[in-house]
Amino acid sequence: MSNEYKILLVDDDQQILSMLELAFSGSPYEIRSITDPVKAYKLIEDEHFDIVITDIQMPQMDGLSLLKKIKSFNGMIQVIVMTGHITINNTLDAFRYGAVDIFFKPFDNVQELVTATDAIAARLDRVNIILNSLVGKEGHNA
Amino acid sequence: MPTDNVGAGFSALSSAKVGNQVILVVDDDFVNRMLLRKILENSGYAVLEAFNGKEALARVKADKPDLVLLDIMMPEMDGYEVCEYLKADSDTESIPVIFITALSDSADLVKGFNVGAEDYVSKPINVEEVRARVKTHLKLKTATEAIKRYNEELEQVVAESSKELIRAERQAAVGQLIQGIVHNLKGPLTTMKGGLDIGRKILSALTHAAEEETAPSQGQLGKWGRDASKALELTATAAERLQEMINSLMEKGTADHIHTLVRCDLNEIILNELEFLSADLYFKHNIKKDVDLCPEKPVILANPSEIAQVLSNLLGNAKDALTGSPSPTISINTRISGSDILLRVTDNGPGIAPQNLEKIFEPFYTTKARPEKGAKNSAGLTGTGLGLYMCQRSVKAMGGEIRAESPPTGGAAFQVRIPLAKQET
Repeated sequence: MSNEYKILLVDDDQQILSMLELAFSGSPYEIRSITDPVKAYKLIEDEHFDIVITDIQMPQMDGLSLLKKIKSFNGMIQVIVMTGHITINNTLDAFRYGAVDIFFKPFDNVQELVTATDAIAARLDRVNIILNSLVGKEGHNA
Repeated sequence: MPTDNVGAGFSALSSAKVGNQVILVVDDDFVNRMLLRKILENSGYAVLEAFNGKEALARVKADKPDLVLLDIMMPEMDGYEVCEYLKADSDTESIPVIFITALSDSADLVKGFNVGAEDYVSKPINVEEVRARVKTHLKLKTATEAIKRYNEELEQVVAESSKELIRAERQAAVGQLIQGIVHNLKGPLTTMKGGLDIGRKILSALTHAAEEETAPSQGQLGKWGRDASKALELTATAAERLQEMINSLMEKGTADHIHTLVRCDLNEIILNELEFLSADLYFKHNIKKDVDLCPEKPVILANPSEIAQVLSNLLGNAKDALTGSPSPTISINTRISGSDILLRVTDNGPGIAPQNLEKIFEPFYTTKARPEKGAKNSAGLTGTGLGLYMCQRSVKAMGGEIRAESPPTGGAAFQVRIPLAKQET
């Protein structure tokens, strides 16, 4: 992977965050985690993140609202949502608002989340290569 | 003037007939009784007779007539006295009494009405007058009884639907509780399962390395070791958290089955309930809780699960009142006052309109939407209007009282006063 992507984990349960950090510990990403979705969004505005993995049911801000805000702030940021409250509406809304994937808690196997993230990272690699080549071409032509 | 054939009534000493309305005629004068019997029987009533006050009372008790025609002037016990007895007894007070009186002095009539008579007929007896008055009062009595029956039925219906709603309220509370419990249990469960997944992954990497007979580097081994121990630690902590939750649920569950009053520490119940309510995300994170409990141990004689229910209602209401408030705060404090413990639950929400302070304890009064309609009010809240009513019942059963205040400075305050338990000797 050419890029060391930055990933932000958002969940109001600190233990889950610690577990996820451990699950990603062998991966090449720069992992940050935060329990407060409001602060999470500020962080996303201030620093660049490539992937955000967020819980849906959080007290300060609904994960779906966070998803919407992220996608309207920067559509390139890939968002994976997690939820313990499984409903059709939650799931459909998540995709409607632009999530790339959804995971139900407790996870069947937390490694699946890591694998899905790897796949998204690979796709980002590819998108970046294409975009860079396009921008590069434009640059030559200018 | 009597127009009926009086003499023919002599042999007709029949007792009350089933289905007919029964009238007791009380007169010490045999001829008067005979005359009245005739008039009444010809109108289709069954007639009973009594010749003095004592006999009259005995007959009323035994036969429960629908109406009493009562002579005033009788030896030993006069009509006024008989009437007073009848009206003082709850079994007979509803039987209409009509005086038969030769007295035309208005003071005597007033006296008759004062002892509870419904009406009077004058002597000498006028047949049409007797018929008309008897008919009117029997009609009135029938109507009154019908209304009474109707009221009783209505009360029964209301009692039934109250039970239904109380059940609905309890069910709703249980539903909410379960949702909160499930959400809370999923957290540590996610961590536990995740920890196990990570452990398994490391184990499979080790097994793989052993099978391939490739020795992993020291660095790799060290990382696996550190990760595995961290995964185990996370799993263990999450399991403890689950265990604690289950323990507190078990305690709550067992307490619910005890309906006797026991000595319990109110402060302890409050702290437990607050801990339990933290299952509610909004309650846990958004509302500032200002808890100030008295340093003494306030021991009361109560059913702990009912106290917990009262608290949960008061805190739930406060929480609902704070929906949309900019800096929601709930204050909970206890203070000993004489031989009582005072518990106050205060919020800084919009408060309660003064004219509603009394109403809120009435059954079915609610400012929230009714749950059975499937609707919610503007704040998205539902209620059966029984929460505070049930709180009041519980508190009263413990010999205490509950009241609401809405100080002009804003917010709402509920004060529960419960007598402290006497020291055990």
